[in-house]
This record gives sequence, C-alpha cells and structure tokens, in this order.
Amino acid sequence: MNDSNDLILPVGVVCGYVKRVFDSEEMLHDITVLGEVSNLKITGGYAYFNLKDNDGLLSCACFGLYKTEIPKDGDKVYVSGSISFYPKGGKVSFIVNKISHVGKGEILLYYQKLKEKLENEGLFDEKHKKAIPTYPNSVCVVTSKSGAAIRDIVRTIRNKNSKIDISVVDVRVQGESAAEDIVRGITLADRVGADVVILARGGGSYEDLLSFCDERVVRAVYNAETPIISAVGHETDVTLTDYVADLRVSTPTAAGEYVAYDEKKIKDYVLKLCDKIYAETLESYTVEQKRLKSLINNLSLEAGYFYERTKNRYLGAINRMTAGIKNNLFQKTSKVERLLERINSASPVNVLRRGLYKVYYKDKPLSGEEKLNVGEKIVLESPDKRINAEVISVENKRY
Amino acid sequence: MKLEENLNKLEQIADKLESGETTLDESLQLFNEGAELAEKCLRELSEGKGKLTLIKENLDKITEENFDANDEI
Repeated sequence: MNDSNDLILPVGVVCGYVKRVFDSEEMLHDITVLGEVSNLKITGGYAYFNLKDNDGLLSCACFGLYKTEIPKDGDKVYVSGSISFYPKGGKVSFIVNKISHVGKGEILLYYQKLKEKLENEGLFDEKHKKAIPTYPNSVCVVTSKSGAAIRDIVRTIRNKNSKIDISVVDVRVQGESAAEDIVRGITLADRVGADVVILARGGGSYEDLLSFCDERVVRAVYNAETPIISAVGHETDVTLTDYVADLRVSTPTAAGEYVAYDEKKIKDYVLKLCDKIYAETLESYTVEQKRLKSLINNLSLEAGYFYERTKNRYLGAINRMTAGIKNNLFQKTSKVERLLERINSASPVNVLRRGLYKVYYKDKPLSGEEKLNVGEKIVLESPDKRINAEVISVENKRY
Repeated sequence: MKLEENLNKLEQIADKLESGETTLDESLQLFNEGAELAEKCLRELSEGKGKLTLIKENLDKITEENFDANDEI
C-alpha cells in the first residue's frame, strides 16, 4: 500500500488523461512526418507499419489505404495524420490519412530522361547485344558476397550443373558509393575471362536499386566485352542495366537457371543424337542395299529375258532349219524312192521274178549270136530254180 | 566452350544425315565423325568439377580464393 496518502488512480483513468493530453496537443495533429517504412502489413483496406529514422520509430495505422499511395518496406515517405494514444493498448499510434513517396516523381523523371538519352545514343540497341553462351564453362557474378543473390545463384547452378566454375566479385549493392563499386566490379569481372557475367542483386526498395540505374554503371555494362546478364531485384523491378545488358532476367535465381545447362539432359541429348546418327546411317545403308538388290534383280531379270529371247530365237531357227531339211529330205527321199521303184521294176531279178529264166550254154549266158543245135545241153536259171534242159528244136524268128 | 562447339557439330552431322541427301560413303564418314564428337562431349560432361571462388584484385593482379556462399550469411 501507499503510505504517503497520494492519490491512487486506476490505469484507465491515467490512460484517459494521457489520451486527452495527446488529443489536445495541436503539435500532434495534422502533421507530416518523414521516415522509412518498415514491417508493413496490409489487411483489407488497412495498413499497419512502422515509420522510422535513425533516432526514432512511430507505429502507424492507415485506415483509408484506397485514398493514398501504398508504400513498400524500405520506402522513404511523407506521412500525414495525427498522433493519438489508445488507452486499451497503451500504445501511441500515428493515424495516417495520406502517404506520399519522397521525391519519387522527380527521381523517376531524372531516370526517364537518362534512359531516353542513353537510348538515343544507341546503348540499348539489339545490334550491340552479345549472345549468352549456351554451355558456359565459367560464370562470374558481380554482387555482394554476403547477399541472398549469390546464394540463390550458386544453389541454382549447382542443382543442375557441377562443372561450371563460379567466381564472385564482391561489390556494395546499395548505399552512397555502390554505383562506383559496381563499376569497379564489372570492369574486374570483364578481365577475369569468364564466359558470362551476371550482375545481380536481390529485391529492395526502388532507392536501393537506383545504383543499377547510374549512368556510370550502365556505360560499364555497355563497354564490357564479356556477355552480361542483368539480374537485379524482383520480377517487377526494372533498372537501366536491364536495358543495356545482353540479357535481362527477373531474379538472380532466374540468372542461375539460365546459365546452368543441365548436365543430365545434355548427356541424354548427346545419346539421342548418337541414336539418330546411327539410325540414319543404318537407313542410308539399307537404302543402298535395297538399291543394289533391286539392281541385281533387274539385271537377273534382264539376263533371263535375254536368255529366253536368244533361246527362242535359236530354237526357232533350228526348228525352221530342221523343218526345211526334213522337207527337203522328204522330197529327195520321195524322188529316190520313185527312182528306185522304177529301177526295181526294170531289174532282171524282178523280171526273173515275174517268170523269166536266164539261159546258160556251156556255163556262159547264152547270147543271141550263139548257135544252138538240137540235143545240146543248156541250163535255165531263175532266182530260185536251176533247170538242166536239152535243145529239142531250133527255129529262127523273123522280126 | 568446347562442349558447345562439339555439340553444334554433332547436331549438324545428325541434320545432314537426316536430310537423306548423303551417299552411303558420306554417311559412314559422318557416322565416324559423329561417334568421335559424341565421345568427346560425354567425356567433357563426365570429367572434372567446377570451382567456386572469390575474385580479388591486388595492384592490378587478379587472384582467386576459395569461397563458400553459405559461410557469408
């Protein structure tokens, strides 16, 4: 218990009093405060965030988000509203009715003009873009060695590929001298002799990414001889290095994905090409084999036809000759036969067959000159008989 | 980037053979070349392991030292 008999007050009464003090203090009403947004949470149309600078922090609540600009963590903003105290939470809150980004319009305008100038100079022309190698042996990453970007890139590359050499050029990626340091990093990376350079940074506020819109950085990327991939910020962030680089990807992870060829897929692809080459060569062989077979078949057929034609021609000739000879022979045979018939018919043998006898006298054929006397012996001879006879009478005939 | 070069040549050989405009002699020649290139590609894909290094510059001289991205977190 309190012994001094001081007034003892309930918490609610004290909080109510504090609230009245806050509400009555004009200095805390309709004020505009400059600070950086952090721990932003948006629920429906309400936004809760901290507004801070190096010396202090204000807990803010905005219930009319639809009427004002919507900040991101890290944004520098002007916030207008009133400070109030909530007795039930025991918390001082800045009730915000308007948020506007610090000079964003002016900054954007400057970079827009710079972009147009560089574009007109031809720095973003497609003809200056170098091809990114499909199968690089080495990659040099220009980024902060302690940032999330390098971890994402290394992890992504190694998931697909164990062979690519990865080197890191450590640079400051935000802050006052970041642009100068990035220029140094790009120039150094270009001298390393890697097949491709990745200029990388994770996401951040647009102020954080402004180093990548610095004219010196843009020109360093343009002047590099090694192909450069710009991988700055998140999907929606666009910097001037994105325009000048040989390739722009949305995130550091996407850059890792892009440069790392998949070893296994390439092996499979090589084997597939081998299969194709083998199949095509085999096909070529088969076609040639078929062609030769067909040629041989045609030759055989032709030879067969030739043989048949020749055979038929000679057979025909032989047949005709044989027929001619036969015919000739037949005619001749007939003639001979006819002659023979005639000769035969005149033959003495046939005469004898017809009943004539040959007469022998004194063992000699009897001639017409011979004089026969009665009683002389003569012999009569036919082909099948011999008759001994005696002259009975001789008469002379007159013709 | 020998791998890229060899793979390109291998693709060209496959395309040429696929065109069907090669004689058997040419096909066999291409087949032999293709087999050699494929062997080189597969050897390149199987041998060696990539480094992870941090680049340093001292008086214009570039040096490399081993680097582990996870150590830097």
